[in-house]
Amino acid sequence: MSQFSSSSLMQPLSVGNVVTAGIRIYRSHLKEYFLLALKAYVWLLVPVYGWAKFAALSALIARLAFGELVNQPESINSAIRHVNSKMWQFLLAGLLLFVIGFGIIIGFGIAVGIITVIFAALAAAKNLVLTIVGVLIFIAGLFAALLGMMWLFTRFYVFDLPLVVEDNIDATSTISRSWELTKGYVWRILGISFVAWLITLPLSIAVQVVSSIIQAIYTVLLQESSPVFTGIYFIVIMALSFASGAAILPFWQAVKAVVYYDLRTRREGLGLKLRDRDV
Amino acid sequence: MHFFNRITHQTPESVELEFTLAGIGSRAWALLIDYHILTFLIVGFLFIWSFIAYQVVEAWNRIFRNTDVGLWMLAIAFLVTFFLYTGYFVLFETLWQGQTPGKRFAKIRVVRDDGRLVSIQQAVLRSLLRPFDDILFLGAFLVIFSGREKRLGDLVAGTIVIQTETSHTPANFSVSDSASNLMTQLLQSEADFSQLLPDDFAVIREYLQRRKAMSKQAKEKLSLELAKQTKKIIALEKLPQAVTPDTFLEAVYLAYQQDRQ
Repeated sequence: MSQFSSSSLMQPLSVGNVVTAGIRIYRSHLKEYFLLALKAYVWLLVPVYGWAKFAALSALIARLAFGELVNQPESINSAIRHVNSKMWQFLLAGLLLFVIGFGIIIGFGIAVGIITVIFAALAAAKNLVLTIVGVLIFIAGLFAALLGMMWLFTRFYVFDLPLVVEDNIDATSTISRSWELTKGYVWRILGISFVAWLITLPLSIAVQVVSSIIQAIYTVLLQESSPVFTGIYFIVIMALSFASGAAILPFWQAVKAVVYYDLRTRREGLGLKLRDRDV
Repeated sequence: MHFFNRITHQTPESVELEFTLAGIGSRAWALLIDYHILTFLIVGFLFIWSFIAYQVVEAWNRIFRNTDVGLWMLAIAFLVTFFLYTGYFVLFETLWQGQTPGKRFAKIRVVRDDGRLVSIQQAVLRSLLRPFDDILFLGAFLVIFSGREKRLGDLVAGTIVIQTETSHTPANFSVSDSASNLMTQLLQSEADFSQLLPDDFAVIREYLQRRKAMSKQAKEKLSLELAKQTKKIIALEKLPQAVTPDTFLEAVYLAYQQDRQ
């Protein structure tokens, strides 16, 4: 019996199950998703047009994963056609998010600046109690600023999903949709991201180890410095980082698709409908 | 498509038991919580112990001029840390029927392969093999890639980790007064509640249960849609009175239950 058969309603998922569902979708389409992600990474080498391609292809993976979730799997070709028609919107949404992210980081910087000034003013009084109060304010303020920054970033977590899944959505409305969907579920999403990150850890560590081995070999060979070795070194490192990026990107996109699906289940009652009875 | 591994076990009495395996996400989530609690416990112990040990060493040296006692204190600290690390899982898994605080939070449980509760024996084996599973993330790989999601500890102890089934949650939403009025009117009207299948009722119930968490816009759209469909299913020509979709659905929810009795 499938999880989503008619007798078991589409229930909201727990934190762990979001990650599990993401990983299992990726596992069952390992090759397709990996190749799409690899293609996306290679496009990154081409300025502007390639970046739009990258954004579109990674959104495509999320769309395919979402299709699996709602039990309407889609062929890659038809999904590509859909995504290509909106390619520039993905770049635009990415740029908007970049600007927003930049703004958030500047805000964080200002907050830290204010906290530091308060701390400095209190410490300047050369009074032990005031200094301790200053330290406490500094730690608490830094913590609050960090949490605030994370909270804001999380509100944009599913920014590309509405654009790639829903109709009549453009680069700006997809971002406001993300803001609206994530309302009240920020800590949940952060928990999910944390667990997902933990699971990607083995792979990132393996990649780190391999690249430091390559680096060590390179430094040994460097003694007879030749441009050929340097060229090979850069190609190998680049291939490695592309391959590892392409291995992880579908995982994150699949998890994001499950988060989006889960948010829509919770916030909009996705899947709650009475059966058609036209027979 | 199956998003979660399910396994069945047949008992000697030919009763088939079905479990949904916990999955890597929930297990990582549970471990994350447990390791945080454990770190807190161990750091707390070491902090207190360092004070005690310092006093003991001072006093001892004053009396006996024997400097070996510091090593003893260190050895005890290591031993207690080890017991905390293994004991935490053994204690909770035995006392809480296969759950630790993290597992309880992640809604998963350890059981034996045949679905029986774990005893201290399995809990100890799982706990002692835990460090080996942690090395190089061996356990994580085994859980992700093996069919029954068993890490080394599970393989040796003969256990599986399953999701605690969420049995039907009791209704925890309130129904407005106007809905109960409407219910009596609906029951007297020509509406045919036998057309409403249990599945449909479950959808309405689920909506009423979850509507609070929904966004206003989506809720309005969904309730209107559901109300329209329901009205058609129970062959109701005209509403006895003008009501909001929510009130109508609440009334149908009540009427369906009345009708079945």
